[in-house]
Parts: sequence; structure tokens; C-alpha cells
Amino acid sequence: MISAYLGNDEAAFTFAAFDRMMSDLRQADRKQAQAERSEWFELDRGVDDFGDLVQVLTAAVLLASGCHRHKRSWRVQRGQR
Amino acid sequence: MGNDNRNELSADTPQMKSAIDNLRKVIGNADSDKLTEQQRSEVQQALNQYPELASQMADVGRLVRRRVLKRLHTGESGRLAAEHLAKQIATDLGYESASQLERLLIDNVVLQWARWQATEWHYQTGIYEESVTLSLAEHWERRLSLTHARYLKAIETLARVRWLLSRAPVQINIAHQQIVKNG
Repeated sequence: MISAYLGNDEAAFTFAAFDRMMSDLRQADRKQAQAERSEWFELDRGVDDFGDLVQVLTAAVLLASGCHRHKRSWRVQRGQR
Repeated sequence: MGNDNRNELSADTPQMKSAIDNLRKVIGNADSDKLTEQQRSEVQQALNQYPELASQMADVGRLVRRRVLKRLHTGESGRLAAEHLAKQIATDLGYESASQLERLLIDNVVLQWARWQATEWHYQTGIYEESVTLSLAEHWERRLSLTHARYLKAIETLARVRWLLSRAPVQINIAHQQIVKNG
């Protein structure tokens, strides 16, 4: 923390009030950003969870259908066509 | 599926969770270049064990989509327009004639599209407000890139799965648990 003595005249009090106001605004900004992020985080989780479920079912159907994974990419089993 | 709470946005029902966990397990076992008939059969059995899985997943998808579209527009008319557009995208991707799995993949495309649009809308409206800080703007730009990439990936997956299944020797109908051998 850095402290600076600005005197005790009217200008100093005005500056201190301005400083406090700016600090409050920055804090409000941070709180707003945090609230936004948590709201979207919950929604994101829902979307990602659904994508994950679909991915699992897709992999199961592809395997059961005669496909296989080779180096992380899906292929139809050789000689099965 | 009445009220919109967090638990309904994911596979939190015990049966569904158990079915997904079981699928993950058998997929893990079968995830190799040399897939044996026994491993394939285990995957088929796991799919057969919980026939309602696909339809329950579709319910979850619809619920999440509704939540995302709510974020896209606060007004009722805007929300209805977004819902209409989402249905149009699904129709354009062949939802009506698609198999149950393809429908889920289309649901995922629509969901990713809705999230991307919601992010875009939020970013565009927020960026002109004086209160937006640089770090917040950067955060939304990153989100925008990420959600767009996920949307493109979902489309790519749909196309890839369609291509693979059209050439696969066995057709699996997860809606009615039918197995049809081609050729």
C-alpha cells in the first residue's frame, strides 16, 4: 500500500472524496463482472453437459454400428462394408 | 421437468447418470483400434439397458435451450423469434427425417448456436455501455471465439457421424433398440 499526504485543505478533501468514488466504481465493476460470469457459468455447464452426454451416446452408437477410433478419429471398420 | 433449476440442466436423474456411467465404462473398454466382437456386443447391450436414454437426453436438451434462449432475448417477442429461428435451423439440418441420434446431434448444434448468439448479443449490447471495463470486454471476446468454435465443431460432428453411419455395417436405432445388419 502506498500512502501519500495531500494536505488538509479543501482541495485535499475533494481529492479524497473523488478517490473513494473511483474506488467504489471499480469495486462495482468487479462485482458486476463476477455476477455476469457466475450466471453464464451455470448456463455454460448445462450446455457443456448436454454436449458431453451426446458425445458419449454418439461414441456408443458408432462403436455398436461397426465403427472404431483410430488416432482420435472415427473410421468404419476395415472390410466391414 | 417443471421448474427451471440447476439439477434439471444435466443428467442428474440416478437412472440416467447410471446409464451414462455404464456407457462411458464400456466405451472406455472398447476404445481401441482392434475392436473385438465381444466388446462391440457389450456396447450394444449397454445401449439396450436403458432405452429411454435418448428421449430423456432430448428433454434435457430442450430445457437447456430454453434457458439459453431466455438469455438471448429478455422480451417475449424476441424470445419467440429466437425460438422460431432455432426450430428453422433444426428443420434445415433435416430434423424431421433424422434418426434419434442425429436429432440429438442437431439439438446440440442448435444449442451451441443459441449460446453463441446469446454471447454475441450480450457482447454487442454491453460493449457500447460506458461501464464495460477492458477486462470484461476481453472476457466476452474470448467467450465469443470459444462459443463460435463449439458451434462449428457441433456441425462438423453431425456431418461426420452422418457420413460414418451411412457406411457402417450395422444400423443401430436407439429409439426402438433395433439392430439391422447391412448386407
